[in-house]
Amino acid sequence: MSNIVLSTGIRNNLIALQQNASDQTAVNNRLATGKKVNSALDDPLKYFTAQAFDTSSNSLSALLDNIGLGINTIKQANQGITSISQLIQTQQALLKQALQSPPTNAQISSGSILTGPLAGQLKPFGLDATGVYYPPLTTTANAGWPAGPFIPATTLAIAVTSATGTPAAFTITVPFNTSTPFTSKNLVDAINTNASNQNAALGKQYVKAQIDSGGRLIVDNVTAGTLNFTLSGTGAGFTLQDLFGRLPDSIVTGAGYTGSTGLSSGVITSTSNLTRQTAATTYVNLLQQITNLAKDSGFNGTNLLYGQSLSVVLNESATTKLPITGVTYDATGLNLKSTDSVYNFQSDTEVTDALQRLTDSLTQLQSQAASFALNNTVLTTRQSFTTNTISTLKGGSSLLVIADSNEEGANLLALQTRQQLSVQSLSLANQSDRSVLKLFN
Amino acid sequence: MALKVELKPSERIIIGQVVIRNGDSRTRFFIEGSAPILREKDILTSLTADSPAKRIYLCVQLMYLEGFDSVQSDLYFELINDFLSAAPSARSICAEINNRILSGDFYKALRTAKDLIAYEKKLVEHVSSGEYLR
Repeated sequence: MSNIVLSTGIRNNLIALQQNASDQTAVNNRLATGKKVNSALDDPLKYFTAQAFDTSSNSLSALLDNIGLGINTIKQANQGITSISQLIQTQQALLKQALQSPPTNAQISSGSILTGPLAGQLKPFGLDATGVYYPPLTTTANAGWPAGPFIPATTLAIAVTSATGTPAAFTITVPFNTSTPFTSKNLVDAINTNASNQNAALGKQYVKAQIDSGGRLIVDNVTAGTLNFTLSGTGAGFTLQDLFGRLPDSIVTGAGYTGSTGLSSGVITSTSNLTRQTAATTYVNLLQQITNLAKDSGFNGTNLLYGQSLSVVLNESATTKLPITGVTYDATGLNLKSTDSVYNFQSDTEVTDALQRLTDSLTQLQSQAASFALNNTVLTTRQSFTTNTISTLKGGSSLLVIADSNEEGANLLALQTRQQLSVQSLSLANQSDRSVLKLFN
Repeated sequence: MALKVELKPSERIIIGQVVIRNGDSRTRFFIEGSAPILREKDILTSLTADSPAKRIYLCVQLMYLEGFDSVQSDLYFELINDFLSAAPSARSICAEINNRILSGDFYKALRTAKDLIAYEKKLVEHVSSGEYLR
């Protein structure tokens, strides 16, 4: 092959043409990728800056996923709370319905309520208007008061056979012999706090005494079973009628009352009310559903309603985190008893007790929902901030332009003028006026 | 650790939600506990924040003083994006402010926003001095 000799002029032209072709390739490449700087060789400084932005935005994307998972976990827990609340509302309706069916458990209630200065006091226990202990500790009858002296150390014995648990029997000594007033409230406390009256298995009393809103003293066997009353003392004439102010036949609810001849003791039996029994069964089933719902309220392996907690990492270096503490809101966690033997709802006492627990648990659920909502707001704000940061960083890597200080300065001056009339400035001014900064204006 | 603060006569300082104004003499005191603290020289108001970077500073300052919420976050990004479309070279400073806010370190974000104000001043001076030379 013969050599080709190029003159200097032609060689220069050829080099220029080659340079053109090379430039053309670079331009084509930039057009194809949409980036002005494609490799470290194009412009090392810009390239590595862009790389840093890309890396940063990628790690922020991972963070964003994490925040998104946190939000979903909270949403799932919140959904669980809504569903559990609905179940509880169903239970409330069920119990209110059960209340409408008259109770047939063994119960005794007082009839007489004092009026005047001693309003609301049960007759045998109280002080009269002048502070005299009533009934007077004498052996003679007082005019206007029921006949019969109350002998010192009169005792009231209460025995219960319960449908559940061990039958209880206990004695309460009514201290008529002291100068301290013994009121119907004292009798209620004496019955409710008696050690033998505590059913450990159920976590409540066998016999519950209370003063209802009408001021009547009510003593009932909260489970299905019988209630025995015996009054004893050294004197004669003190009867259940005196204690409760009514004839035994009219003071009981339940199947029947068998009193002794002296009416100082009696047995009240009860029958089972089927409507209430059915309500109790449904109630217990729903409790199980609540527990199931609580167990199923997890997302991505974290169940905020079943004792697990979550810590959402908020920045790249994992130095800021939002800890979200979970709760255990199954039936037990909400203080709703779930053992079959606990409820049969034969007495109103038991139903109102359960209703109170339901109301309390609803309050508990609402406050927890509010706490989750707060966490959710924090995370959502973080999410949008991180999303915006990523878009700023991505803009940073793809919009790399040769910095022209003159142009940028001019742009900024234009922006300054434009912003003076903008909504943003107004919004900033508003926010400043609402903050401590208003003291500086 | 207590923070030592020294105030000139009549100088003001924000601590938490209150403004404290010094009396006639120089005062030195120590602050313990955590609350937003800003000296008068570091405070911008809606009247004094008259440039794009200063508005960003004011916005971060509001986050520092009043807590971070979505309204401020939205406003902040409008301001940042406006600024970056005018001066793309400020991206690394802006990314730094973002990171500080993400870390919950609003005071450091504020210091970085101060750098942005300085950078803006430099860019704008470029234009002004250029005109002056012409």
